[in-house]
Amino acid sequence: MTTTTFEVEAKSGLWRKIVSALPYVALSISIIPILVGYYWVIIATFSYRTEGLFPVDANGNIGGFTLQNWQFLLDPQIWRVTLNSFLIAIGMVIGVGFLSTLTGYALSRMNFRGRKGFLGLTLVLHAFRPELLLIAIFQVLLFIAGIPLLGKVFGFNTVGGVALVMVALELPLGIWLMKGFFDNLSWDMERAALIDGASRFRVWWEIILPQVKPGLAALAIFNFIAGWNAYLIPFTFTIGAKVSNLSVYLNQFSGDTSPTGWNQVAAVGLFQLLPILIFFIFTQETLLSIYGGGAKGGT
Amino acid sequence: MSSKRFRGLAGYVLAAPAAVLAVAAFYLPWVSFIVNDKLFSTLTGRHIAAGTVIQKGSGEIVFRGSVMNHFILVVAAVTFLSLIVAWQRRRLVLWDGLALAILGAMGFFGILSGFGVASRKAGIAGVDMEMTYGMALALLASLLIFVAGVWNTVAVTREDPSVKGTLGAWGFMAPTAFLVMVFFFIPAFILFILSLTDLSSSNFSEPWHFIGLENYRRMFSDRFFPKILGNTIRYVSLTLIFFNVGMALVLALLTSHIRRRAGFFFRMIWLLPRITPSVVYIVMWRRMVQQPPYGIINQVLGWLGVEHQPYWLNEQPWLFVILVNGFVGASFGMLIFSSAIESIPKDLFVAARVDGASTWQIVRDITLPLIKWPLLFVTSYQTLSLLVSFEYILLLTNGGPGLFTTEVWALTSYKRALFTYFGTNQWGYGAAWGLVLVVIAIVASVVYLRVFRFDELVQEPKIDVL
Repeated sequence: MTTTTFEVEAKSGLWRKIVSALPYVALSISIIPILVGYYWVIIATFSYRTEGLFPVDANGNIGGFTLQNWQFLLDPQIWRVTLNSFLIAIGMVIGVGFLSTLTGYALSRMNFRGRKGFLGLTLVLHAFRPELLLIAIFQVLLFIAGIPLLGKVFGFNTVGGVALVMVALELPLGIWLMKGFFDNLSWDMERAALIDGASRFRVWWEIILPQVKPGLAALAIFNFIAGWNAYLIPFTFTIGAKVSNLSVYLNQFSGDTSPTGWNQVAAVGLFQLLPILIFFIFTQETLLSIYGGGAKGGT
Repeated sequence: MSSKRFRGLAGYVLAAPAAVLAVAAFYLPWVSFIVNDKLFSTLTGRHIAAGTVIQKGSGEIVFRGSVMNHFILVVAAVTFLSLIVAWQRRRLVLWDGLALAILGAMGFFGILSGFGVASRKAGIAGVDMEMTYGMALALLASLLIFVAGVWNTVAVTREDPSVKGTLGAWGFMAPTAFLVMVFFFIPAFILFILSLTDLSSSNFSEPWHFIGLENYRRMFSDRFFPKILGNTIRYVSLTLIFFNVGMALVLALLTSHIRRRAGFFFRMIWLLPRITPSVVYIVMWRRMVQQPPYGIINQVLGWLGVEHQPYWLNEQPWLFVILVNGFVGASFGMLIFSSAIESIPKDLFVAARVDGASTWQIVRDITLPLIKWPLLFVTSYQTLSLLVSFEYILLLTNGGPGLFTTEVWALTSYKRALFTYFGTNQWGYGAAWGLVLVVIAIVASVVYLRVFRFDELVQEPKIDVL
């Protein structure tokens, strides 16, 4: 039995229908603000101007379909910030994926001094919210910026620095998830390989990794979205257009634009939304499981 | 046996002189400067121990230091301490090697960074920075200490093969451990230190001072402190009650009592705000609250014949702060509650139904008691989340309209420290605000760990022993 249907023993068929329709009505009303928001972004992107819910042309009549809001694509600046957003997202996918797979494996499979302590620490950090450490991380990034060469890549005001901070702050969650995946794997194949004399690293690479691909994929989607959407950390640790990302650019742009011109803002917004919507359409099950299972509370 | 011990201690044979060399090379120019004031002027623009010699525009020669430059002292002190302990113990343990290796590396990068920061400041002051021989020697000495550390580690590993397993495991852990150290522990420590100083952008390159608990005194006596505290309580409690727990529970109950595909659909839609980029999400909301003719809410009000059509964000800032955060926050609880409800055995519902219970009775007497733990979990978890989060408020109202109308504690801390706030970044003062929340967050996380039995998840590993 997959559904929990509450059969209402009502007096008439009509009454029963009304009662069983109530949850649908309530839920439909609850999602109106979300749908309206998305509706506006999509309509506004392709119209001259919007008034309330309707696209209008220069004379205020309904209509005014146009593609000129997409002119921002010709601006080299947008491609730079898009590249930065993409680099941060990919940095998070690779960084968190790689490190938490290594660490999760060690925590799940190896017995060593300090294991219990580190695992407890990971759990505490997983519940801990690092937002307010940003004040001090600022000083850490200034310190890194002072180191020759390294400072140019990972210091204050670099894309690498932003990505590094984001990877570090996301690691407890990643380790926690990956350790869970490893705990559920059978130990037999691995033991056979170890008995045959394979090294730990080789076992990890050739036997373990292929088995946790679904988990790794889920973590990758989560991290890509987190990196691509990032606003607070890039905003805090970068100055100027060269190193900023799409979110920071868009916020700046919407602040500089009067309400009449928000169709261009909507176009940039939709541009940033596209990868998210693609994930939304194709990986729904995975999204529900990662945001319900391992992810932090958000807000 | 004795040869093995010698090999281990040989690491110290390298490390001890290196530490002496580092301190001497680093501080001798400084000592000579104290002894002979004239020598100081020849060092202008030089980065020596404890800081940099700079000639100001007025011709006055001043000395600017930073705490990081004294790090070499810590390196040397710990090197000798470690040597003494190892000597007393008469044999090496793993830490003797690791401590030296880590310290050496930290000393190396500490000196480099101190020089880099000084160069940048000197560059702003129009002085070219040169590296002195003393600095180069100190760098070399740090490297030698690092090598000595590796040497000791290898020696320990040879002596005791079981160490190899631990070392191998920590090889898997090392990058993560390093990042956790650099981006969690060190910042938490820096935050604590910062909160005791008057460091701000107005005296960033000037000497800053430890001012004890002055920042905290200032914080509690701030004219807007009661306002901000009240805002925080209001923000956390209202969002929690109406959305993160309340709406989440209603959504979970509704979506798990309708057809499965439909329930799935509604949950996905409710997940959308969470995965939407925060800036885009805020743009959507801003468009809803605009004045006529742009605002969507006002257009709907117009259809209903309502005359009053203001800019809603200024009219009802709190309503929208809570709506905006709530629509993001509800999905977490919704997903947790849904899976909890779906895991309740269906027989219970059927039995209750047969006994003639109404839907409300079933929810009250069966569902709610059975999801008691998820309810408690989401409530406590989201309390902490809301308490320290400020991104959506920052984007939506930035604490306005007007003075501190919607400013919460976390936002105050962030803005004081990292915004050019009333003209200056007040890192020290902002850190004091932040530290209070960080302490709350640490305590809360540890308590959650205990209450929700997370430690039971710390199961024994599938052991190495073959």
